[in-house]
Order: sequence, then structure tokens, then C-alpha cells
Amino acid sequence: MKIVVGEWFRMPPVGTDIFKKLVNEAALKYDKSNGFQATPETNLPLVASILKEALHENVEMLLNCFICGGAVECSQCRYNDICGGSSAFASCICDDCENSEETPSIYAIRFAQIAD
Amino acid sequence: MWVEKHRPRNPNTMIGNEEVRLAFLKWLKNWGKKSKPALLLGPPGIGKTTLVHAAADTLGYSVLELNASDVRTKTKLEERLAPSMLHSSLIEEKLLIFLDEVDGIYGRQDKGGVEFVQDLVKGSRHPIVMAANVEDDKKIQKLVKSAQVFKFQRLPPKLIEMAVKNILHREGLSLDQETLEKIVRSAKGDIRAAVNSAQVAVGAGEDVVTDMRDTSIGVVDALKLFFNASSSREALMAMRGCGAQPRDKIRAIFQSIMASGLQGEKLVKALEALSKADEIVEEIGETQNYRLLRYFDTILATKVFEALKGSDVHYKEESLPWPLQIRIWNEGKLLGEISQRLAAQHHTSSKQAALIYLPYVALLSKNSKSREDVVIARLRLDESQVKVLRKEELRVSQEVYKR
Repeated sequence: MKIVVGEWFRMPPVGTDIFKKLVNEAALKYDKSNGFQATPETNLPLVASILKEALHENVEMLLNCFICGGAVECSQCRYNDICGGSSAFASCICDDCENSEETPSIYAIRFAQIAD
Repeated sequence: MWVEKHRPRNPNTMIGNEEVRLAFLKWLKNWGKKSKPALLLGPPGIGKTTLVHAAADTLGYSVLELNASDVRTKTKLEERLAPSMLHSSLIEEKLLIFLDEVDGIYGRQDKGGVEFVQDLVKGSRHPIVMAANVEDDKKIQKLVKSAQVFKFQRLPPKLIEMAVKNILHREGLSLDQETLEKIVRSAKGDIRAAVNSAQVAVGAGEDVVTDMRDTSIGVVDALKLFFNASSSREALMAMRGCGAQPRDKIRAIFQSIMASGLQGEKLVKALEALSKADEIVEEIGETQNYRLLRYFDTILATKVFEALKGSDVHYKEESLPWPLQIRIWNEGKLLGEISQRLAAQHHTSSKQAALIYLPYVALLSKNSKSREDVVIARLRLDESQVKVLRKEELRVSQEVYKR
């Protein structure tokens, strides 16, 4: 199962106890009509571990690339060991985007576009 | 220092916490007298202060900044804020009041500071922004209830790496990937630490990188150790262990010296020694020779420390009156430039020119427009220097009038 931080997702029924753990302990956001959402406050490793146990499958957390909008696979990142703490980041940059000298400028332009 | 030189002046050029940045910009754009104050929460070095200044700059606000951890009591806060709060009509610009490190108010020395801040935010005619590093403190929770909270996260390592690489690129320098990764890892989501470490790594060798992070203490604690040190070596340890920027160290020592009432020869010697340290910072800024940083702390611990030996100078929370501080730090540089030009013309020292010549020149200029024009022309003053000269004219004439 892949979860993109910041995007709404649904999961199979997991029971009340697991639901409470996800929402109360791991701070996973829940909305009846949209489903679940991992936010910057969400404890991602805890969500992954709860879901892995409940669904018996690997759960992978993905961030959005702020520049191209594509998924950033945290498990492949060289900083995964220090980045996967209790707090999550709403966005990051993918491997393709990070190697360009233009990246900082494009990043700033992207932010300006959203701000406007 | 790179952190100052490359500090983003526009919120667009910052990194990380995108949603929070957007929300804060929206809050400031739409600010009205009924708006709640903003409370920025998050660990140090992630851009809270930078965002406040950049957003204010972009939206045309002047910032009145107070570091609340240095001004913890109600009386001190009132002293500093009263001029702007009571005389807002005299201030033409849009003003934003920024209380940095409000968690510092809630120390053991809190004497009504909490209540004062709460009252202040209720009736302010200016947007008030507070920033704190911790949110779990019970007393901070009081402010949380009455403020619009913006929670900042540590910055993603990849974005920190991108920002550091960008600075290195702009400086025409580079670091190998291994060192870069070590810096990013050591920074733990703190962009300021990463930039400082990169600067040190480029100038002084990579081996200092981790030491810098692990031993860092705040400027207040460092100054207490510095003034209480029994030897130059102890003073040096205190300064080396302090993670603050050199300018902040100089400013804090200067304020403590001035607040101590030190006078005469001792004061002159102490300030001369401090100016030597300031010269080093200036030279680093001009030459980009960051290896000189190693001599900065040594000068503080030898020349300044020795000059203060036997005097009763210690770290003091009460600092100079607010108007004087503003003058010193905002206009001091320009006054210094004017004094230097006066000194060159009258073949005297800058100190003499500032203390003796400048007040007379200002007074003469105040009383005659043609004389003022001559002064401006002879000293080749630009617009900002003329503005400061006119303030000096006003100040001196008021002093004379009082007498």
C-alpha cells in the first residue's frame, strides 16, 4: 500500500481499535467523505507500523515533489534514516528534480505561483 | 556571515513549510484590527524569523522586533514597546511588532510578562507576531488560545541540501557530496546550522562541523560565562561554545557594557577592543576570508576580556532604552560613515569626530539650510546619510533646547 502525504486515501475496514490508534495516536486525519490523510503532524512510521500489522502488507509513505508534482519514494532516499522520524514533511523534491542547477529558482517560482 | 548574506528577503525564496508560509502570508495580507495575533511555533533554524521579516518587507511593513527572552518582565516589555504603541500616529510606516522567543518570557524571572503580552495582543493597532520554539509549555498554551497558530516543521534534508548547494554555487565554491551529506545530517532540519556548517567547512575544514553543533550554547548563557570567567581561556571557551552569530555576540557584549555604567578609560579600552572584533567581522564580510573567524573569539576572550578585568560588567537583561537602541543599530553605521568623513577632513580620529565634531556640525546645519547644503556637499552624503544627519540635527538641537 502506498500513501502520499497530503493526499486523501481510503483503506479497507480495520476495526474500531485500529481506527482509534491511527487517528488518536498517529494523528492521521479522517474525514467521512474524503477518507484519511497524512498531514505534517502525522506520525508516519507509526501509521506504517499500525497498518502493516492490521493489513498484513507493507505500507510505503510517499511525499509529493514540490517541483514536478511526482511522487518521492522515501524508502529510496539517502536521508530516509533521519527523515522518517515522528514528524512528516508535506513536500520534498524527487531525484530527477534535485540535480538541476535551476531547481532553487523553479522551487521559488512554484511557491510564488501557489501564493498568487 | 552566509546566513545573513543569503538570508531570503522574499518568502518565495525560502524553503520548506510551504503550507504554513502560505497561510502566514495570507494572515498578514488580510490583517485587520480584529485579527488575532500570529504565533509561529517550531524548532529553531527553520525560518520563522526570516519569514516574518521577508513577509513584512514584501507587504510594506517595518518590523519592530523584540527578543522576548531578553526582555522578560512586564516593565521591560513596556519600556521597549511603549514608544511604538503609544505614539503610533507618529510612525508613518506600517508597523509589525515581532516578539521573538516568547517562550523566553515564561522563565523564572517572569513578573507579569505573560499578562502584559496577553493585554498587548488584545488591543494592538499593529499586527503582532510571536514566535516560540516550544509549544508544550502550559503557559504558551495560554497564548495559543488567543492567537492564530502557525506550526513549522523541521526542514526536509533534501531541501536543506538544495539550499546549501545553491549558496555554495553563488559563492563559487563547492563541497564534496560526503561532506555535504554530513552537514545536512548534522543540521537535523535546521537550515541555519547547515549554512553555518557549510561556511565553516569551506573555510576551516570539515572536522569542525559536528563540534559546532554539539557544543552550541545560547548567547545569554555564553555571556554569563564570559563575564564570570576567571581567565582568558575560560572566556574563550564560553565564546567558542556559543552558536550565535559574531554580530550578535558583539551586540550583546556592547549592550552589557553600556548597561553596566562603565565609564572613563575602562569604557574606552573595552569599546576599542570590541571594535577590533567588529573589524574582523567587517573584513570577513569584505574579503570572504572565513578563516578569520577563528581570531574573532580570541579577540573577544583576550582584548575585550582583559579590558574588562576588574570592572563590574556582567550580563544584564536591562539594555539600552528603546529609542537609543534603534538609533545605534539602525543608524549607527551611517553615523559612523559620516564621522569617518568628518575625521578625514579635520585630521582627527573617527571617535573624536563622532563625539565632538558631529554634534557641532549637526547643530550648525540645523540652523542654516545653506550650511547644511555645504556639509552635505563636502562630506558627499547620500540620501540615507542625509536622513540620519537630519535626525542628528534634531536630536542635538533638542538637547541644546533642554539645557
